[in-house]
Amino acid sequence: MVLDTTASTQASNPRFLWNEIVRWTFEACILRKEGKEDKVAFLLQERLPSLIRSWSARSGLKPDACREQLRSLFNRVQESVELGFIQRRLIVDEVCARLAGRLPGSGVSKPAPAASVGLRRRVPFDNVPDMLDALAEAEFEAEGERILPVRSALAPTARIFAGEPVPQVALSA
Amino acid sequence: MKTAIIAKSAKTTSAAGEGRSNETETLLVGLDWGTNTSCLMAAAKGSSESKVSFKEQIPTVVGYAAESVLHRVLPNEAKVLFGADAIKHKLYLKLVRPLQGGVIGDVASARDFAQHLRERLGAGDREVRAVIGMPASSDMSAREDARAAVQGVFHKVIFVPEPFLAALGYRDESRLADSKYQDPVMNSLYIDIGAGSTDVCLVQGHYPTVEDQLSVPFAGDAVDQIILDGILAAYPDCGLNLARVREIKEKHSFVLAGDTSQPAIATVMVGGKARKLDVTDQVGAGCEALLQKVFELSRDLIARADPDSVSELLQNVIVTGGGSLIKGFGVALQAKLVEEGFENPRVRVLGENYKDYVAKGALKAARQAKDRQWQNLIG
Repeated sequence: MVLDTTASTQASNPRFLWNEIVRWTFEACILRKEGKEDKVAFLLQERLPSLIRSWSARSGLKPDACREQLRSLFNRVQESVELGFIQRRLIVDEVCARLAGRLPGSGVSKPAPAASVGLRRRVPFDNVPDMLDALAEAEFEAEGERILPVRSALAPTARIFAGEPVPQVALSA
Repeated sequence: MKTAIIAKSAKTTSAAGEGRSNETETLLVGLDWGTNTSCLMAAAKGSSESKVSFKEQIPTVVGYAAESVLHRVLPNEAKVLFGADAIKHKLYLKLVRPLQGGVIGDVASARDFAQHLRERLGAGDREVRAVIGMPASSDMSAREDARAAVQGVFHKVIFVPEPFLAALGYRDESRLADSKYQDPVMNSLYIDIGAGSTDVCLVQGHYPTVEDQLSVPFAGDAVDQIILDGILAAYPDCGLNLARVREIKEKHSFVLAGDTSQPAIATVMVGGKARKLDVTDQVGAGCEALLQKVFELSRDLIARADPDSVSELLQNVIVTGGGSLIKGFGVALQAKLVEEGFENPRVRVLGENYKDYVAKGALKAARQAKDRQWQNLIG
């Protein structure tokens, strides 16, 4: 048997389409946490709708079931990303504390440099203390990203969600 | 150069005259730690907004005396000199610029420089808390280096992006009730041209988020390199270096063709003889390249703004940073925006005062920071 791995075949494979929806939903939620709203808008308006249409047409599920499946995915991805950021924060705190305790003031090998430290949320200009808090959050996130990139931290969760509806397709077939 | 000081009591302005009663008073510092020049402002914690007890601009340079330097050549037989003193005695010193491209390039000399700043403050035993400006595009490594440089020098610090501080410093809160005063933070485009990077930010009533700013690693240093390459191509034996090119640029930079009526003539020493070189074209090419880059960033960021806000936004294009000192820059940028089809833009250049605005903004931020927000560096 020859495996057909061409793009057009992939694009009509409901498992592939679902995995793409999972992937880009995760990405949209992470980008939203990072404050990159224009990229989120692109994914929500341009990339995901066509994937969802294609998957819905090929999944073998009824429209209501498709909607429910998607709603469930979106909710769980949002929760996972929220949890991922919290877990990453806790892990980074723990790692930093351990490194600091074990190697005080030492030249612990530094992870690769991260991107610039910028605000991820809007802070009114009059509120300097809130701006300083937002900067501290951004600095912490940048440090966390350097030690444990959130996309790596969330990859196992994304893999769990991938391929999820296949059994249902099988059931409905 | 020590500049005007708004008087506070002598007890807090002078280390020598400091009374014991003020030893425990916390001193707040706003620092624009620039690649070429640093600006420092200070005030006692709790003092009124208008009171600044210390203000000084210092060239960011450290000079280390050579082992073989003769006695009495350097003042007080100093082993290390800073700022203008270091430049004045550069023949006998190894000059080190602690910052490169707006961030710490040499932690050891940066630390020595920071210690010098602390001594200039005359803070005695008082706790010193500093808000320090960082380039908007700086990453965590840059912050770690800066933190390492001021560890043990200042007691507590907060790092804030320079464009935030420039906007904070430029805003005159005392005039907000004046209907004729155009609040510069309500709807403005800030262009900060530093040494290592150019940052363009939308400031529309809130501090710019990552989506409201664009940065490129193309700024004063890149202009210096373009000018140097151009001059060396025309005059291969002139023996110029980047430091000398920087001086030439600071004296002759321009972006308007009209300004070439006064050609840029640089005097360089070749084989011990003074030689005058016409570097008008080379300086112009470097500055034009920067103008083009700034224009492209501005255009792209304006395109991101809410269409309803653009008309007012174009009235408030504010250029700050060392690049704002280029002659004709504001007018030339305005002309390019008009050429591109933007309606009636108005570009303002902060000019020589730009360092004051960052330091002033840093001091404002220091006054408003809560105790929990300061990062402890000592004990």
